[in-house]
Amino acid sequence: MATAMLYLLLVLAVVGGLAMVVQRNPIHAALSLLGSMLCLAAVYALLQAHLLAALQVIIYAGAIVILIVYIIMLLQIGTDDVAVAFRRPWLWSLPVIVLFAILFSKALFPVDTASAAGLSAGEIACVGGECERDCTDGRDTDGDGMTDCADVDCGSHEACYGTVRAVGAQLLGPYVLAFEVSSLLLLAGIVGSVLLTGRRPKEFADEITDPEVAELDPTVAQAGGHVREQGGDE
Amino acid sequence: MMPLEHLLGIAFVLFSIGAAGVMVRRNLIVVLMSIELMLNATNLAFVGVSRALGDNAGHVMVMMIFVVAAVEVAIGMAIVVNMYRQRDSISVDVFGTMRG
Repeated sequence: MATAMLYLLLVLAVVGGLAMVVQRNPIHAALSLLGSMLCLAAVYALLQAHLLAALQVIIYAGAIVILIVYIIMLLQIGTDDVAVAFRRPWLWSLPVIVLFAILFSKALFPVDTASAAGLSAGEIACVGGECERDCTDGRDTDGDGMTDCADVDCGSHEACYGTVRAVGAQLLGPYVLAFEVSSLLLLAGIVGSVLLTGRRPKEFADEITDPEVAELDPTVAQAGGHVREQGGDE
Repeated sequence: MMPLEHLLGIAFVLFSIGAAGVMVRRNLIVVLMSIELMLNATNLAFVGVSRALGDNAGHVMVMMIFVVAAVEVAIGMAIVVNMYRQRDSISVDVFGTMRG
C-alpha cells in the first residue's frame, strides 16, 4: 500500500514538473510546481524523512512558490503565445536533452545498488554498526541524562531516523561548519536582494549616464536614462 | 518495497524536465522555477539514498539545498524585478547585452 502510494506520488510529481514546463501561463506553471513540490513532500514523509517533509511544505510551498506567484502578479505577466513562450530552436535542444539523459543514466546506473536496495518502511541496512542498540523505549544506557534517542550515535536507528532530534544532532555535530556558512549565505542573500530591489539614489543613476559610458555603448546610456526617468517621477 | 534504482530514475527524470525547461523556455520566471525543479530532484535523490543507507547525513545536505534554493529565489526575483523595470520585459532574449 505504502509502495503504491510512493509510486503514485512520484508519478504525480513528474506530471507536475512536466506541466510546469509546458504551461504558457506563468501562474499555471507556478501552481503546477506547487503540486509537484507537495507530492515530493508526501514522498519524503513516506521515506521517513519527517522533518524534511515539513520543511518542504514550509519553505518550498509556503515561501518560494508564494514569492514566485507574488512576483508574477506584481509584474502582471500574462499568457505567452506559443512562438514567444518556447525558444524557436527547441527541436534542436531535444537531442541535447537526450544526450544528457544518456550520459546521466550511464553515470547513475552502473552503481552497485544491490546492497543498498530496498526502501521499505521496516528495514534499514546497518551502516554504522550501532543499529543493534534499541532506543525505542526511552532508556538511558550511558546515564548522561538523555535518552538513547538523544545520543548522536543513535542517529542511524530506525526509531530516530529522520526526526528533528537525529537530523539536528547531525546538523550541529559533524556539519556545524556548513550550518554556520549557510547562515552567512542567507545574510548575503538578504543584503543582495535589498541592494538589487531598492531604488537607487539619483547620483547612481547619473553615473550610469556618464558620457564616456554612453560613447562606448549607446544601449547602456539608454537604460541609464530610463532609470533616471523613473527616479524623477517620484 | 521500492528499489533504489526506481527512485533515482524518477529523480533523474525530474532533473531532466527541469533542465529542459531552462533550455526551452523564454520566460525568466519559468526558467527560475525550472531550476527549483532541478534542486528538488537532487533533494529526492539525497533522501532516497539516505533512506537506503539509513544515514541522516543526506537530510543535512537537503537542508543546505533548502537554504541555497531560498537565497537563489530571493536574489533571482530581485534580478527579475530589476530587469522588468529596465526593459519592460522578462523574456531572456531581451537581455543579450553581454553577448560578444
